[in-house]
Amino acid sequence: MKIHHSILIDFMEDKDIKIIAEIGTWESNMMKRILDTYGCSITRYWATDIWGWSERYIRVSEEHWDKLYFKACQLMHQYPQLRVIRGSSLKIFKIFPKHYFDLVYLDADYHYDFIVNTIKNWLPLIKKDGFLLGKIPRSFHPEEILKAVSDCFGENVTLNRNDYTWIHRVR
Amino acid sequence: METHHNALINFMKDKDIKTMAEVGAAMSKMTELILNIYKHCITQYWATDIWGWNEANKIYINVSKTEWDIRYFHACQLMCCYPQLRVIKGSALEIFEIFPESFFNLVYIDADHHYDFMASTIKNWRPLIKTDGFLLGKIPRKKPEELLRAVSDCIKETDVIIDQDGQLWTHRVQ
Repeated sequence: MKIHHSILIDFMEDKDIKIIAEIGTWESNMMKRILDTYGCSITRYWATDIWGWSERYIRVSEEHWDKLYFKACQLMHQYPQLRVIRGSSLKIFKIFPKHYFDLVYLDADYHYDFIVNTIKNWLPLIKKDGFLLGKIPRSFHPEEILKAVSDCFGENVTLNRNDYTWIHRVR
Repeated sequence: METHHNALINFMKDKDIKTMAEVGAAMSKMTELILNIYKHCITQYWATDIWGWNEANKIYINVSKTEWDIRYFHACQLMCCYPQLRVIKGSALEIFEIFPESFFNLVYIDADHHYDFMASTIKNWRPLIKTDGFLLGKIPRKKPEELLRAVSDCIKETDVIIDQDGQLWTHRVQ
């Protein structure tokens, strides 16, 4: 079974992805893998996360969240394309112009309302022929995500159950 | 334009400032002004602020969390317009650790003006400035004594210059 980092890296292989947003950066592992692999072609990588209390990470202290955020910020030295924003995806989508991103990757809160609202808010920010992708967690409310995705896109979504991802191409 | 904005812009005029930090970006007015005027020479502009309630900053006591978020998100939005800009939300007393030593050409401080904060900020940020780089800060109109005492306790008196309008203190790192 492949890990999510590899799945996204494989997915991006034959695509011309220049501007990307990651919603739910957490420990910055995905960001590092992607920028190490595709750093030459990516012109802007927006790493976003609330880096704060959530139901999923109930035991993580405020100090530890700060540490993870500062770690992401520190990586802006290593990767000149990287910009980091701390905040909920339900608020920070307003920062970006429409038709801006080539790819938005969603791996944050897995609840139905959050997924539906995030899709609704971020979809207009993606260019035509760009991609909105998300993780389907193995153990944390996968059915809620699948319902949210199917309510938003109907048939226009590819579910890779083996890779635990969903993919929507913007038309 | 506020007078200390003018003072900083004039100060930067004949200097070769490529990498700079603003400690206390708040409304991002200074950030926008400097990036508009010096966008062709600045390669990295790090705008930092706590963008949140701070016990010491009583002038912001009525600013709600929502309003701070709006100010922070406005600064973030500027990153779409100015490719040199990086925004970090956090206290200057914590985020200095993000940067390597001798990194900046200029660090401008306009945050908490109290003694302890100023003294600690100077102590923590000065090593991050290159030789011949500058550490400078706003001198508040009201009660500037505490801030000036912190500056003079941290930096030798002869190494600090106060501009003729009393808007800025400047220190050249040797």
